[in-house]
Amino acid sequence: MKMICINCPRGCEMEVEKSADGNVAVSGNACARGAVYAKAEIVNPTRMVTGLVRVAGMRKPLPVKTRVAVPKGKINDVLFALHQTTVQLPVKIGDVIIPDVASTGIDIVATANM
Amino acid sequence: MKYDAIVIGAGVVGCQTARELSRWNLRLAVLEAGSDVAEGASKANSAIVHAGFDAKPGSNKAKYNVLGNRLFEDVCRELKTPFIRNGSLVLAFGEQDERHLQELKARGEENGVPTEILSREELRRREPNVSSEATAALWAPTGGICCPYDLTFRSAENAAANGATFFFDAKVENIERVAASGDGGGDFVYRIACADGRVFETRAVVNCAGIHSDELNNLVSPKKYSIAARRGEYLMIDRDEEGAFRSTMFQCPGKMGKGILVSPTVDGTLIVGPTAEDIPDKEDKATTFEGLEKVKEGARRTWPGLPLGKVIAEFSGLRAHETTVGDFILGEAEGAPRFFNAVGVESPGLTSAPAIAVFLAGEVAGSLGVSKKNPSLFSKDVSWWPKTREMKPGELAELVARDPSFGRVVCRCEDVTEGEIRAAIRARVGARTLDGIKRRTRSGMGRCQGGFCTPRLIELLGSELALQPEAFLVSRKTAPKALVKRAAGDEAGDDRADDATLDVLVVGAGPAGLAAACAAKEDGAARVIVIERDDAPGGILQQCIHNGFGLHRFKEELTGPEYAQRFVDKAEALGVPIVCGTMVLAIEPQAEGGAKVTAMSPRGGLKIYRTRSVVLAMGCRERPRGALMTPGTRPAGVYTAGTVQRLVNMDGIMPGRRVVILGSGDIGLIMARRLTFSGAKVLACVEIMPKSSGLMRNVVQCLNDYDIPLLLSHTVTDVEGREHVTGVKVSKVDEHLKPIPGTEMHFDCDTLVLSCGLIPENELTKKAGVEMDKATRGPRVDENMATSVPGIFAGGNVVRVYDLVDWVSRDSEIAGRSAARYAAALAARSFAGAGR
Repeated sequence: MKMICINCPRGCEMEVEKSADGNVAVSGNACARGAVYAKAEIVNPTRMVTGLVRVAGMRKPLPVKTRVAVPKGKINDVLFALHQTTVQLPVKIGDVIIPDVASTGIDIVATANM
Repeated sequence: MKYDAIVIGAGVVGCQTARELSRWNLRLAVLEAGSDVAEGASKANSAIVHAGFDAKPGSNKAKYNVLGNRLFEDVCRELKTPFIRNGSLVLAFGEQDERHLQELKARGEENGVPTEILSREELRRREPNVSSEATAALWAPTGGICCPYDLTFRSAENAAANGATFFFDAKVENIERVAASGDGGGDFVYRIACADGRVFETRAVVNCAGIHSDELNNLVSPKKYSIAARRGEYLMIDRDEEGAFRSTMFQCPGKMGKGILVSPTVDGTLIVGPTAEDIPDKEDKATTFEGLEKVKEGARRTWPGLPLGKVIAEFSGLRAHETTVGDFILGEAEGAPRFFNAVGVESPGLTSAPAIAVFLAGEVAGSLGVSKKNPSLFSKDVSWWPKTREMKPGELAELVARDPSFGRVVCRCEDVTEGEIRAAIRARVGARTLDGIKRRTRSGMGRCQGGFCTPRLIELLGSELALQPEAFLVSRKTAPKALVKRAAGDEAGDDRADDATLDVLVVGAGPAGLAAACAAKEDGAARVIVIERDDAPGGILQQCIHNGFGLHRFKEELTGPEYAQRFVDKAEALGVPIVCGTMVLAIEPQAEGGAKVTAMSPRGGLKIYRTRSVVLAMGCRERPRGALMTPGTRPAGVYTAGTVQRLVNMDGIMPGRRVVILGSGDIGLIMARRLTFSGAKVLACVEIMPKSSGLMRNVVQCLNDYDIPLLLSHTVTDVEGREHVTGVKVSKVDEHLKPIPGTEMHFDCDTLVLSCGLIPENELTKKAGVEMDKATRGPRVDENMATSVPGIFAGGNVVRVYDLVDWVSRDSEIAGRSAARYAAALAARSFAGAGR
């Protein structure tokens, strides 16, 4: 199948084949990250989620992200958890805002100093 | 509520009439159906003060045009509103037209308007940009230009200062003649009922209701009139083209009006239009694809070099054309004593307004038997406020010292400060809507059309009127009703730099400016500072909360604020001060090398910096709707992608729930995902080209992941909704990018997001005398990022629009190092010079 790599702006158009024994063959990728992405996309596609959480007493929200990519199927649960959260200031970049968000084992961390 | 006289309609005729009436001893009110003055034809017309040669001799149009033209200059001076007598030219293209010019000249003589026929050569000498096809022209020196909404607004202010009371959102539903209460003698009053239940009683009525004036007359008079709304569509051209024409350029008039004109405006832009089309709906102010094509085609006849790339806005207005008489109907209505009409006041209505006002006020006063006030008691106050754009540096410094809000620039296209905007809201007949601010101050009227200032404007409206800021996003023209008290805002911190000569001054603390400043410091420049307009450093990255930044630079994927923070921390570690909340107004290169930089801030006032070198790092701005020439209405709910990003990510405001995105630029794609995350439904992303203009990876992870359709080779061909967007029409386009009839689809949506590319921000660059590159629309730079002016360097999106911030940082570091080296060389030279 055809796949476009989302790792960098180059957007390599890759050809990905999954054989019967479960091996995944990738071509068209300009770097090793492409192959890693393509394999993950077949086995367990993941995405970084960036979002906003409410700040107590302020209109301006705090930007946050998942520390690493989460399974694609979990994105809605992650967004729901963000929506349920209000933080107290001050917050520094990298502070854990929600540990183990939506039981993914992955933390939500702050991406701005506020 | 009881009055002696009520004027219905707060357009230019109504407000001028109210002002004239306020010279008399009477209780006076003005009722307006809209939320502001000048909401009808007065806000959307050609802004021309006609000489009066083409109206039919003996008609009211001819009489009041000529009288009004004579009064105009004095009225504008009294009201402190701009007026320029730039003269009018009517062009002839061939013999038939030339005969028509002779007719116009003869008609002018009959009307008492001086004119002169110019030869082709004389015409070309006066107007070098005119088409070579023009064979002759009629010159009318008394023609002029004005600002119709400022004139209306100042008339209202002056009337209010002299006792007139204004009522807005007061749509008149019924008028009846009833016996005056407590009066058995047979006297009567008019009882005026408004749609919202308010009732007014008055002894006299002046009907200045524009396109609805026939309906009001028909409520009280047996003599019926009928008004057709005659729509005219226009284009506005950027101030870049100022001076292209000196005079107003007409073509020979036809049955439907004076044809397509090209004219300078008092603001330095050019106006092109109008079309003339009778339409059934009196509220339909949408522009159309066909109409705008007609404007372009017509204007090119006069101006073959019409620069379509410089279009900043398109709009339409409705003329009130009376169909039974075809002339202005002025004076007491038949069978309705003390009910006075100004019906069918179409072009030359603006020109005629001062004369109509004097006539009607006299009639009303006579019918009521009231006396005139002592002229010395007539207030001259028009709620004037200083226009910082037009002030000299010394005056401005004084003003900012007195009132720091005049030091905070809100609209950077038109240099409008917070002080001016607050004054416009606080005036007697003050602004209560985004459109109201725009027309009073020009904030949002420039080339970015409110892209940058809208979030700030709703904030200011909210703080002055004690409302939630998002209430002002519901409609651009109808004021919000609910009064919700908002929390008091906080003020930004103070910053100051000291006065010795700097080595490198960087304009802008976004990724480019911060990288340049750090590189300059690392390269040995001792005194480096960064000046930033916003209240915090980071530039646009502050609102780019998605990931994808820094893969090349830091070998890891960061979000925008994280990437910015790394450079802010670095600048801090290197001891580079970042002066926030400060706007650089001018950069003047000095003969001895280096530059003088004028900057302004609310706390510090006006400040002059001396610096050996400058790095320009102001970034870029988005192309506004006007540049795209999307037809349709101009409702609330149309935003550029960057504005939506700012509202959602930084101000915590969701602009809408059902969204269509026009253009597939990266910010638009990113916002498709963000809006989906925030609970909105993104119905489609529409791209006129056969491929996406954004990165493929953004198409995959922002659209495909969330099943948002990408419609390639499609464009928005109509925007619907009067107050707020209610839907858009989307059509397929052919290989020439023209919409294909029959391919229309409709989307019900409340928000249209535009993501159609970025343009370097180049005001300061141009003002500094730097040579520009036509292709990038930024400054021309060499491999050291040096501009054509020695000592001025540039980096980042101000030079050309980059895909990737990593390369912005890299190239801006080159600019920073080059600036540091230039400063060192200049310092060495002046040291050597001092030693001799």
